[in-house]
Amino acid sequence: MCGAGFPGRRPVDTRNNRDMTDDPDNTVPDQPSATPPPRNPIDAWVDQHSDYLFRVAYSRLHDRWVAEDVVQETFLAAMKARFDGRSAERTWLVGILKRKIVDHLRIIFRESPTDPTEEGSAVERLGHYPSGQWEGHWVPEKGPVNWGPNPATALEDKEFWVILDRCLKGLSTRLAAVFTLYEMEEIPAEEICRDLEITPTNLWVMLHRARKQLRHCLEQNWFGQRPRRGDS
Amino acid sequence: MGLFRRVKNAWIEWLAHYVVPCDEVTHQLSDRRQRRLTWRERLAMRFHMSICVWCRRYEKQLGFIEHTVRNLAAHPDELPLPPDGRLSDEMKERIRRAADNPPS
Repeated sequence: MCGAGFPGRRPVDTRNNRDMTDDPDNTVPDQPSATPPPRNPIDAWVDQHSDYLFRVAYSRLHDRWVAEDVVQETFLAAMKARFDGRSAERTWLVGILKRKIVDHLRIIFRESPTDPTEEGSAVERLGHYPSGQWEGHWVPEKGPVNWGPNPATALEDKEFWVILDRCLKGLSTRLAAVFTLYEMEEIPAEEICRDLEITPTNLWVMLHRARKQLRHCLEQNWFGQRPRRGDS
Repeated sequence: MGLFRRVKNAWIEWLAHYVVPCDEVTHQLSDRRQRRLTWRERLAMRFHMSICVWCRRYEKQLGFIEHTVRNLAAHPDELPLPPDGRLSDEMKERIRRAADNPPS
């Protein structure tokens, strides 16, 4: 398919992705090509970038199907937009993907039916005395255990990342959304509050609950089951 | 009851009454990442941390979580990410087909 297209636009053989400036009416017969015709650029982008985009999306959303949808939306948007070549392709695509991720999180936050001030409130009291002289203090048997002198070694174990994924998945919709936006996408607090229509205090409380729940989950399912090495 | 025992009980009574409870401390440890604590809060927390091993651990563990999550966010490519870290072949096909037949 050849054509000059819009005025001022270079004629391009879109099937073969060839610049036809010198032969806009395709009067010169095609040479037999030694290599197969180049594909649609989107094909190449899918090959080169789709797995990476999926990993970025999954690390934020912890759901394969949602992550795939967001990656698909990213490519659809990329097809409509014009890549100006100023940044690397991957950087550009990741930029679109992150906007889609933030949009998605904002939507599911708003659609979640529970009251944000109540959500996850039980986790704040978990492991603490509910009443009495020591109300609010850690119950010694339930307080944080020693995770060892170098908990970072856990990061080398593939099982650990499975556990972390499960723990992140265990956060309620709203806590997960807030936590991801703040900690992973590093959106400034004022912007999160504006987008989600919550107060800064709501935000701090939700972040606290998310962190507390995550810590508890990691201890229950990983660190609490490793041999203890004395006090720190 | 001996004198030592009485002094010890009085000390414990005083602690229970005046020292900030751990649930507040954990909340403030989290808030510290977002806002500056008041000098009163900081003073009370310093004393609390000197006598509470659980809150000392909590503080370290919060730091570990923050570091790990940032790591995950920055390097999703380098970590063994469940499930298998790849976009399914069906989805890739679907995207390619959409590219070859762009919606008008």
